[in-house]
Amino acid sequence: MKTLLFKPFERYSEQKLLITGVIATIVGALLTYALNCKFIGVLKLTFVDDGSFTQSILDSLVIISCLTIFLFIAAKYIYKKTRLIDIFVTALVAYIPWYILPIFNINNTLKVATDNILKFSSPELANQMPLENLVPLVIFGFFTLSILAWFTALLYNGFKTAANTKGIKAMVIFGVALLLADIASRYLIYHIN
Amino acid sequence: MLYQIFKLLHQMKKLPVNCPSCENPLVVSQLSCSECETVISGNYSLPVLLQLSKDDQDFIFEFILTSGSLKKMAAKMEKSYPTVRNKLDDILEKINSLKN
Repeated sequence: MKTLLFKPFERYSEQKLLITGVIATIVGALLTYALNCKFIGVLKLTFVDDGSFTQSILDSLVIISCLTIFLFIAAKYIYKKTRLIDIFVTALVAYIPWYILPIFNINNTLKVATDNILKFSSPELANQMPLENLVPLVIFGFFTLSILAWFTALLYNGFKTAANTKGIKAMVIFGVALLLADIASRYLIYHIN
Repeated sequence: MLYQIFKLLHQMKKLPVNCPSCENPLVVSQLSCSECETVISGNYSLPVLLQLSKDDQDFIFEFILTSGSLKKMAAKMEKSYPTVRNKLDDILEKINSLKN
């Protein structure tokens, strides 16, 4: 079970991982669109009113492409024999946990809660902030952190397997590549819309 | 036939390659014939492959049995291709350090 959840790249073939990743990405994009959410970067989810399925698929493509490109460059720098397919399936599969987050916005729960809280954002109204709107956001925040940790662990394990790497230097290079992928994806998604 | 050799290798006792006291590499100092009890004494170093762990030796043997196909090995070992390739690279690194 631990292998399946955190280290699938050590065990499963690239064909199985590719099929799983592609199906999950399509389902994830559908879920993101249907539940009025939008990924505006590798590490950022927001709520929208006017999304489209095509836009949702395009956002996923940008995110997966940015992750693949930056991680592949980093992996090639560390280990010359790294294959593009291994990094691509790592990006596809590691991103699966993020598709759980839109489920929290069923019936626009989080969007409504955020909008209500924003009404009380000025200092003089802050003490009147309704608690019932704060609770779902706190729960969502906690789950987002868990998902972020799961995603990072999955992505790093995939990167480690693809680039046959260990040690702090590899961790730093991985971290830089992830941050660059996030920045590039935010820039691209912003300009595509 | 090859399968039987592989099975036999599995059943063989583990050959110690390092001294349990000081951890330096062990050498062969005596060979004997089990039939006529002839004994040869000397000082022979162990071949590099025998200095590897049992797990690594099994891996190399499996590699030969699959005609050097890492894909076949990955399928047989129920591991992914990069995991098997990484293992081979780690063994190559060990062999190079043993040779030096």
